[in-house]
Amino acid sequence: MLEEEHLYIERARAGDAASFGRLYDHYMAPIYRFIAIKVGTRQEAEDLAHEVFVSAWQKLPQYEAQGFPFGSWLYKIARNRVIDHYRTKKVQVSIDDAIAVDESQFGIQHDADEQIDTGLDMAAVTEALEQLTSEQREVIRLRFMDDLSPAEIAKVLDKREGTVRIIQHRAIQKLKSILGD
Amino acid sequence: MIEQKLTTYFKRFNSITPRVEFISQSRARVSFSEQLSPVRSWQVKLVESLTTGSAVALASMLLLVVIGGASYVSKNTAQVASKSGLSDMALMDEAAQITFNVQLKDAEYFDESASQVVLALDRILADNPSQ
Repeated sequence: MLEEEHLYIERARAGDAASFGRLYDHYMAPIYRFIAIKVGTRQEAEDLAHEVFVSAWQKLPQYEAQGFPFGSWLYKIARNRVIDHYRTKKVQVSIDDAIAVDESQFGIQHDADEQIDTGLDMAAVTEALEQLTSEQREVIRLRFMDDLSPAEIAKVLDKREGTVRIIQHRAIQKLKSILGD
Repeated sequence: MIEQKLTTYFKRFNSITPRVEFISQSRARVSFSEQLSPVRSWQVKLVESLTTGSAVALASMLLLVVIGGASYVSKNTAQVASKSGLSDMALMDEAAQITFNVQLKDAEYFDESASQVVLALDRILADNPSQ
C-alpha cells in the first residue's frame, strides 16, 4: 500500500491529476501483471491496463474506501475489464484459467538457484495448479502472486472473507496432495 | 512448505513489467482525460447498472402497464357504452322498439286515413246521389 495513499486519493477525487499520477505509478505494474497473465499478450495487456486506469480516474468521485486499500478496487476494475474483453472476443475460456501467459513475450526469468533451494519443480506446480478449480486458482494467484489478503481478495471477487479462506484452504490441501508435501 | 513453493513459483511472474514507453504514453493520456463529475458518474453508474436482467424487468413492467392501461380503457368504454345505451343488448332492444313504434304509427295512420276516406266517400255520395 502506498504511503499516505488516502491523501492522494482524496486529492485525486477532487480532480488533482498529479495525485492520481502517484497512484498510477504505484499500481500500474501489478495491475498490468494481473491482466497480462490472464490475456497472454503484451498488446492486449497494455490496452486493458490503460483502460483500467482511465476508468478508475473517471469513476474516482464515486469511490468509497470502506476500509479496503485502493488496490482492491483497481483489481476489481481490472478483473471486470478482462471479463468484458473475453466476452467481446466471444472466446470460450474461463478468465480464471491463468498461467497461459506467453513467457517469451514477457521475458519471464527463472531463478534456478531458488528453484533448487526449495526443491521446486515448475512443471509439476503448473500441472498441479491446472487441477484446481478456476475459483481456487484465482484465489491462489491473488494470494501468492498479487500478495492480497483474504479480505482484499473477498473485495475483488465479491465474496465473503470466510468463503475466500475456505477456498484457499481447500486449494492448498489439494496442491499438497498432488505435489506430495 | 507448499506456501513457500507457491510464492517462489509466482515470483517468476514479477518480471512481467509494462514497457517504459507504454507507461509514459498511458500516464499522459489518463491525466488528460476528463474526470466525471459526481452527477455524471451517478448517471454512468445508473446506465452500467442496467444489466440484461434489469432491462428484462423494466420491459416486463412496461408490458404490464400497457396491458393494464388497455384493459382499463376497454372496461371504461364498456361502461360508457352501457350507460349511454350502446351495448349490444340495449341496441337490439332499441331496434325492436323502433320497429314496434313504426308499426303502431302505421296502424294509427291507416286508422285515421280509413275514417277520412269513409267521410270523403259519404260526401261524394251526398253530392251526387245518382252515383
